[in-house]
Amino acid sequence: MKKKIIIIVSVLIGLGIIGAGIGFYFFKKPVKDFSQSSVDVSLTAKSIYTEFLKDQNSASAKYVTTDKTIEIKGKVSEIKKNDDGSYQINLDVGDPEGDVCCTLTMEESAKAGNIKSGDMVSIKGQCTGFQELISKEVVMIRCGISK
Amino acid sequence: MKKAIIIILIFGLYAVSNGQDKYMSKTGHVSFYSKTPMEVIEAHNNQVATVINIKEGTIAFNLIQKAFKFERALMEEHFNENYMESSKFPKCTFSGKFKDFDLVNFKNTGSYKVVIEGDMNMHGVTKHIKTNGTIDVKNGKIYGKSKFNIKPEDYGIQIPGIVKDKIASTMEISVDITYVPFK
Repeated sequence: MKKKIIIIVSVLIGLGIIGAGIGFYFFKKPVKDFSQSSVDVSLTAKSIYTEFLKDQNSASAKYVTTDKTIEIKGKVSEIKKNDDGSYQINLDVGDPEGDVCCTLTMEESAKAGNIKSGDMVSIKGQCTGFQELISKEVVMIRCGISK
Repeated sequence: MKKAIIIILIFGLYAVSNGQDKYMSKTGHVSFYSKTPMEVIEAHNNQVATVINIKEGTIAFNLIQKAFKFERALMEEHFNENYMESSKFPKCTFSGKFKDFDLVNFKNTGSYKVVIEGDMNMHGVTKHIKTNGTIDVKNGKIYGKSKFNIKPEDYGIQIPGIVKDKIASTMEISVDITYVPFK
């Protein structure tokens, strides 16, 4: 009888520790590394841009809210280094008023030195939405070079 | 012929001066900071779009909520899903004016204290705010900085009792922008 109680109590304590561990893991879990994770959706710069231009709400529901890793293929129209040292790559969308603007992570920025305007690239990352104050721009952050 | 050249020159000059009335950034930095004895929460947004019109003394911001980066996934998720409702209200905008902006010479190197007043729209609520900032003009660029506080409840953002001791009732917002001439 006494043995049984000891077993039950120790099982309960064990479960408690596992539960607390899982809880602590989720609590402390870092943000998903979009630049390294596997690609969920792959499309061209022109097609994601056209979708946002047509209907921001439906494009956001598809690419932003879902937290999917989006891979964008396109031609580099501009590459520049930001003040914090990260690289920003703009992709051509066939419209002089617009682009897809991708900001690379610090780790990926170290590999971006040899990319130049006109290169064809695939960039994966997190899509955060559409920006229209200055130009029409699909914004991508936490990006990495896919190929 | 002479007339034509003069007209072209006038239009040319007009285009140049018009072009330099505006300064902009698409990679502005805005962060917020919340501190309680239980928890420090900090997030950074480096994709803020903003324009200053130095002729009219106006300033505008457009910020995508989803571009705020947190250290922990859970914080980012709660920010977007529970508090900001980013899918419903994806952007925060500000549109305002410099007070006494004639005192600021945006074309000459110098440092100025400024007051900015305008309307901020966040989480579907528009509020009139007034804040202090600094403007540094250097090498043809305008460096703008400001720090101010906002209360989430003013914007209809409810913080449940269970996390009240982890999330401050007043958030400190820091703005740090390098403006370049509009091209």
